[in-house]
Amino acid sequence: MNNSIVITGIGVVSPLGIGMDMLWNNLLAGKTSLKHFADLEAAGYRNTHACRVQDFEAPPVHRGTYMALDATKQAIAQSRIQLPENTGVFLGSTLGESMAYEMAAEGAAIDPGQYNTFSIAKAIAGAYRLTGPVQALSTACTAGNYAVGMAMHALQRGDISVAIAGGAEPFSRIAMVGFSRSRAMASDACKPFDAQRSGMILGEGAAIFILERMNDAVQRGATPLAKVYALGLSCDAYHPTSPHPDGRGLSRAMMAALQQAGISKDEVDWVNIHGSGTKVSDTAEALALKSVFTTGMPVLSGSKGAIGHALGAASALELAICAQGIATQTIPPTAGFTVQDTAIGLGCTTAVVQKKIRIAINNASAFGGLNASLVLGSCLS
Amino acid sequence: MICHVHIGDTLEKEAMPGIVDSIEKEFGRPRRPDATGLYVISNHTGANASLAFWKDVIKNGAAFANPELFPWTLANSACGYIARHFGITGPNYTFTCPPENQEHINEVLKQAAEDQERLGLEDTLIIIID
Repeated sequence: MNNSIVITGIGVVSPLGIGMDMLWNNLLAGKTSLKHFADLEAAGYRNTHACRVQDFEAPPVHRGTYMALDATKQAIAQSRIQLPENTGVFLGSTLGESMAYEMAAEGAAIDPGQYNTFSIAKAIAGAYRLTGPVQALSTACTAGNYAVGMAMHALQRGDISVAIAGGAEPFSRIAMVGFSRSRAMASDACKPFDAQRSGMILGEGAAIFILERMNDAVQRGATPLAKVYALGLSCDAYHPTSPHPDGRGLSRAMMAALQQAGISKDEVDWVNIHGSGTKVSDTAEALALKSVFTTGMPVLSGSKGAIGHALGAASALELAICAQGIATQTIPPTAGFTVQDTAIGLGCTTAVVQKKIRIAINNASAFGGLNASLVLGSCLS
Repeated sequence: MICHVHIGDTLEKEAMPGIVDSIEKEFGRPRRPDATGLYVISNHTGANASLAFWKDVIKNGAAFANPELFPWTLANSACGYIARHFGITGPNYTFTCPPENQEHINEVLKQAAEDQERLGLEDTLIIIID
């Protein structure tokens, strides 16, 4: 019996494409979804660049839910699974439908409590008449990793046989203004780990996965794309918005994940960095990476230069990139990285790398001091 | 330990000092903050600050909104505050769900029990905020 937990379906709604194939092809081509938006300029925002999903129709107050449902449909189709009634739903987001809070503040007769992260998770369960556990993780920019990790635990415990897990975040004007006023936004572009980096660029989207046990997947003829090994968590307990400057929290999260997975750091071939593009966060992450990978650095890549920072959906979207990379043994280039920062002393790949990928780590950090590192592995023997 | 606290319509940043005081009075401080798991269950942490922040944006404009409110718009801000107060560096979860949903709370308890065993946690702090 092989009770590894595997991903058998991926669905993506991203600023760089709807559907995994479109996102992946655009990433490999080195494209970015970064654009100037006239509506942001007209509203008086200082930062007017963002990565937004184009050509996606949804009622504004249900945008996150529609994105999550679209991604779920794609993941189910790829997995070719008949969902059992007790399928669990594990969904991460920062605030849920930000627009509901904005409208309520503007005086609309709306209860924003009906539009939070739980509402998106419930909508997925409702759409497929599922009666399994429904978990809504509101752990900001780490929420996608948390959701997939919790799904993995529920499958390992035997509570459920199939999980729908991932993250969703609609474009948020609250976040756009908030990060700008926190001086965390870049004026031009997100440049992960780059010497000229000046901040983050806001994104949006959803990524949803079908997870199941390896033996169940093989038995029904599904194609496992990647194994989900372990989730390492930590909290800096240091500052409301800044990471601990020496990166100790993220270092502990990576070490905890590797320890739980029973995997040596030397087996890690690729780290998808959190790489928000802010001075402080990238420096802390670089120190964390150096403290873990003392005998050789895996290939590093970052995704936020291409798709922006989708907050609660960010680590789910980047997990989709990791899973696709593992399935195809390919690491995408890092949009926005051109000049190595001597203070960081680490570079990200700027080219497509084709190599044997046994193990990959997807890093995520968040306001509140959260760190979440998810370890994935190849299903190739 | 499970603690039930109420913030109602109070802004999160104003409610949290009283909440950590009451937790400390009732349960003391964690023996090993690095081996303590923190689990917050709430349907509306971050909601009051989000409404207040956006009202401030409407009043003062995007370029002059109060930046101090923004971190509190994130649902996990309460959990982060508790972690900083007690120095808790272990797993830190914020679950969104109606606090009267016992089925959901049981799922959180299951995760907390698993974390305790798998990670060798010495203390588990579960806080339900309504």
